[in-house]
Order: sequence, then structure tokens, then C-alpha cells
Amino acid sequence: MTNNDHEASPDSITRRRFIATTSLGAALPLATPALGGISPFARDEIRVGVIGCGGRGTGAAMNALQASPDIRIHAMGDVFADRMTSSRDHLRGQVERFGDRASVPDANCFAGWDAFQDVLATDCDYVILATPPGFRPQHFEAAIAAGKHVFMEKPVAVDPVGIRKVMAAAKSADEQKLSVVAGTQRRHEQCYLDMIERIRSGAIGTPIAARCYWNQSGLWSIDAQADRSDMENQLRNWLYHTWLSGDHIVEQHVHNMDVVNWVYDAHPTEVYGVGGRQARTDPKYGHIFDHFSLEYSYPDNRFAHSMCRQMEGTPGRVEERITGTEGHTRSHSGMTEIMGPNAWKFSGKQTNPYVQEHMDLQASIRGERERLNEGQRIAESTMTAIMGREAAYTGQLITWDDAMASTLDLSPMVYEFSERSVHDVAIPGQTELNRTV
Amino acid sequence: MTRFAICLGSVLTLFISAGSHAQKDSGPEDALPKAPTPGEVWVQDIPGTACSLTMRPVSSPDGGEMWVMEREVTWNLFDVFIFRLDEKKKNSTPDSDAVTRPTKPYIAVDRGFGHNDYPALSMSLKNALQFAKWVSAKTGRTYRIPTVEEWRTICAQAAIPADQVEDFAWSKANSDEKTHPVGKKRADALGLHDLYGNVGEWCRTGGTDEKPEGVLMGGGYESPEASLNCESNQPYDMMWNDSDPQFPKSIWWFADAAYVGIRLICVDDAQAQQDNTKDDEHDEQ
Repeated sequence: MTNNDHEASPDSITRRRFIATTSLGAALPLATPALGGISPFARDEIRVGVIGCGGRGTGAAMNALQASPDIRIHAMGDVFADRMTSSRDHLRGQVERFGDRASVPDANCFAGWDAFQDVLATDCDYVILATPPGFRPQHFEAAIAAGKHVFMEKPVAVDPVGIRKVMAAAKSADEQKLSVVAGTQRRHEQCYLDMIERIRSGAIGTPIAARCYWNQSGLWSIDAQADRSDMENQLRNWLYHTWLSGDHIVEQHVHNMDVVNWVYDAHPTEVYGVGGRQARTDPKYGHIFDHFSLEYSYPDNRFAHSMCRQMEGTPGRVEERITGTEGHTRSHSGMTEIMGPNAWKFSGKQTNPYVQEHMDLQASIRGERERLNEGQRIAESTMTAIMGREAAYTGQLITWDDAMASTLDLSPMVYEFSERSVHDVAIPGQTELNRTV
Repeated sequence: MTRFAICLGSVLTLFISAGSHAQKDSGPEDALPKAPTPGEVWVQDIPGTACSLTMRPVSSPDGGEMWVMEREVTWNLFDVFIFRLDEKKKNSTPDSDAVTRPTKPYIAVDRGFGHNDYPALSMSLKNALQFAKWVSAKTGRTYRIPTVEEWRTICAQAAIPADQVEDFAWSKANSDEKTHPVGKKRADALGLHDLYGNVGEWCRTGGTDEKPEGVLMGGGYESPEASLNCESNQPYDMMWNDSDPQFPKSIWWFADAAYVGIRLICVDDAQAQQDNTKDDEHDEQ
């Protein structure tokens, strides 16, 4: 379905133009409640479509419902029927809390490779994109083409070809005045917002060095089953295949790299570093690495060190540390602090950031605040992680320009449940950035 | 369904005890230390791991004998449990393999506080109960989460002076908002460390094995020093897992409560038998 087709539908026109008109009033956010105290969607609930019905997609649907009482989960889709139905039933089980707003009618529940198109063809206002990240560029592109507002989980791509697709779609979202929020929830977490405000006002002088970490133990895995195709086994065990997850540096560590880019208000210019697959070598863990350690260069001689590891029995550390000319910061979920002459520690209250990000998106859709489009920003942060992965995979120094021009495309030629070999483990010094897979 | 689950549990118990007896002549049981002597400290090695638990004698609420861990459970042993490191080293036993173990946590569950010798934390009561079952299966003895009454009895005998709590406990006053390695604070009258503070300690109050109910005793590193005593308890709160971004939320781990921990007690087999009989009677009511 093209955008023009969509605009031709009278119902859609009403809804979409209403939203667009409201968006024009963004400069007057306080004016909206003054219209008889009724926001545009108080008469017409916001309808949400869920694409990707795993634990996170279902969780994001719950967060959307928690964010506001005028939200309805309207449609849902997953490549696997069992994932879709379990998610649907979990949501229907929330009737005491959300009434029928969490109950998606069977007619709007879809399974299969095209389920995302089916969800987009329903009369939903915004979609939650929560499939494994390898599908994100395709789904984001289709959602924006269908004129939908978007909440998309991080990361938003696994390779440079996908990144370019996301950046183009983000631009198209601006042209259509669509709202886009990404699941890097630290950007919506009060303790981070307060810390960034203080950094901007000079609390640590000029930030010149950064360290960021996502070191933890292992994650879940799904054993391959003989009665399933290779494709299905890989999809269900998606964390361990770079074409689906981007590797753990992209899938998890993007959160912390996003904070560094936020503080520096820039993306890196180049990256150099190491990584490998040492402790987690069983074939059930696909071909991804279990550790990376990278040095990023930023404009004006600023730099960042990034370290991430998934190894059982090792100490965890998930945080960011910024060094400025006049102080330091340390931050992780729920805690931010500044050390030095302007010492400070966050002590305020904050809402659950996974709910807050939907509150912010919904306010943007209603025109109650400046419109949010986080598409370009999250594409840059995802690319930061991808170029780091590639520096470790190839053993080479990778520049931002190398990465942006790269032809690396990890997606399969065809999406079908058939034989599919596991990619080789990358070998530094042999693996090439612009490889064909 | 519940009834079926209970039956299966009984069968499992039978299997475990049968297994223990069968191995007595030739199996790893030979390596086990002798049965504990009333009134004496003994060290419980955990077969298939490099870990041991120092158990200190204490009077039970009815004046009988029980033993309590000198220190809170640390990651050293909890990692073996959650990551099945005993199986990887091929030192597993059929008994312990039969115990359901938690899923791997999605976050860095130690919160970056520290790992080896730091208290394991953030586990649900269901997780803690499975851990106790696993330790019991490993050792052939009855380890479990204490009841509130048992914990208070231990606490009374520990006799931590109210005006010296800071010497005995990591609390909001001195913890720097994190846990610390176990055993660094002064030992109490029983020889236990960290009974107050560091991590709160799960005590069971009731519920079923599927949906157990419990409270935390002893307070944690975030508790105000003045709140540390033998009486205060912290009931389970859904907010302990408010920010788990998955749905359904984890039944094994808390995304928000980093001050939840475990200290097991051990009761002798005769005592355990008595307790089981009591449970059965309770079930039939």
C-alpha cells in the first residue's frame, strides 16, 4: 500500500489530517487542553499496532497502555503464529487493568512473513516495531510509507545498507510530520535528562573523554529443533546471528554508545579495536563474538572507550563515565551523578522510562509537545555500534565514511523457511567490511 | 493441575532420597562431610563446585537444633546454580539436574556492585526456593529459606547491640548505595556476618510452590540504619520488578530491587520430616 492509496481513504484522511493539523499547533502546547479540556484523541483513541510479538513487543504494548488511558492495542502481527497468539492472550489477560483496550480482535491478528504489512493496512495510528533488529529497516520504511507514527526498539539496523534505509525513512517521516521514538529509553529517563542539562551548562567543563560498558553474563538461547527449518531455528535463536541481532555490541551496547553520542552531540569519526569469541563457543550460540573493546575518535580530539562482554561468571558493569575538563560523570539506569567542583547526584522521582517514552511519543502524536523524530539520531547511534563491530570483525580501522559508504548487507536474499547455513565466525585480518554473505 | 504438581513434587522427593541412598556405598556421598554435630560449626562442601558453606548452630524456635549460614549466599555459588556450571564441569548429579533452574537474567544482575564474594541479589522468592532445593539435592540434606519466626529467633540470639549497628551492617548510612563483599563487618554473637544490611534476606510466609509468599528480613544496603532490627520486615512489592521491559515479566529476577538476597538454614532430617508432616496437614485443611 502506498502513501497515496492511504490518503485516498476518507477515514484515514480524517484521522491523519487531524493529527497533522494538531502538529502545527506544537508551538502552543498549552493551547490544546484549553480547547474545552479535550485533546484531539480524547474523542478518538490512539490505536496501536504491534509488529513483533515477543516478550519485548508485548512489554512495549503494555507500556503504551500504561502511558495513557486513551490507547487501544488495535492489531498485532508476528512471523510465528504461536508467538502472536501467546502475546495476544497475555494482553487479553489484562482485562482487569485495561478493560478491552488490550484485547485485539482475531480479525486484526496476523502471522507470517507479511504480517507487518497486514498490521500496517489496519487503521492504526502508531506501530510498535519490536521484531529482531535485522527486520527493522524494512519495517520502518514500510511504516513511514504507510503514514504511521512509530515506536521502534533499538537497535534499528544490523548493517550499513539498513542504516541508510532508516535514515531515508526518518527524513520521509519529517516530510509527513510523523512522530518517531526509539527504544533508547535513557533519552526519556529523568535522571539522564537532568545530567545532560547540567553537562550542557558546563558542570564538568568541556567533555573530552568517555568510557562506556555493557558487561554482563550470558543470555537465553533456544536450542535448534530437527523438525524446524534452519531459517526458523535461526529466527527463534536470533541473538546469536549477526544478520538478526547485529551481535551483542549492537543489540545491547547501543544504549551506552547513544549516551556518549548524546553528551558529545556528535557521532564518531573512526574506530579501532579488538573483539573475539572465547568463552561462549558452543554452536548453539551461532557465530557472534562474546567480547569487544574499542576506541572511538570524535571531532575535536575527543574520544571514547567502549567495552562489552557476555560471559558467565564475570562481574557486570553497564554504565557510562564521562570525563570533562572540570569534572566527571557516572551514569546507569536509575542513577546519574557528577563528581568534581559541581558535584551532584540525581535524587528526584522518575517514571518508569519504558512508559515515559510512550508518554512522550503519544504527546507528540497529539501535538501536545514539539514533534519527536528520533530516527536519524538512533540510526547514528546504531551505526556507531555497527562500525565498532566491524572494526573488531575485520581487525581494521573503520572510519564513519567507510561505514556509511559500505555495501555490507546481511539480509537474506529471500525470506522463506528453508535451509540456511550459519555465517562463519569473523576472523580479524581476513574478514572484510564489504563482504558478501 | 495443582494437585498433579504436588504429586509430582512428592515423586521427585522420593526419587531424590532413593538416589542418595543408592549412591551411599560408591558415589560422591563418600566425599561428604559427616553429619553435623549439634552445637558445633561445620563446613558443608557443595559437591561439584569449589564452594562450601560455613553453617553455625542456633536454637530453633521450639528449642531444637538448626544451623544457619554464617554469610549471605554469594555469586560464587549462585552462578553455578543459574548457569549450570556444575553440569558443564560434568560434576552434576541426577538429583540436582532434576531441579528447575531460573532463566538467565537479561540485565547485569549484579548491578556492577561486584561479583565474587558479593551477595547474590535480585532473585525472586521462587528463584530462592529453587536454589534451596538445588543445594539440598546436591548435599542430601535439608536446606531451606527460614520462616519469619525462625529468622527472628536467629536474630535474637545474634544479639546485635542497637547502639553499634554501624559496626555490624552495611546500610544507607555507610554503604555508598551498593552491596559489599560478605563477611567484612563484625561478626555477631552467633558468629554470623551481615545479618543486618547488605542484602535483605528472604523468609517464607506461605503461598504455594508456584506462587510462594514471603518477606525480606534484616534490611539491605539502602535501608536506613535506624530501621535495622529483628522485627522489621519488607513485604514483596510489585514495584520490585516495575521496569522489567518484557511481558510477561520475569518470574525469576527483579529489575528494580537490588537489595534482595538469601541466607539459608539447615535443619536435621528428623526435624525436616516433622516440618513436612506439618505441611501435609496444612495442605489438607
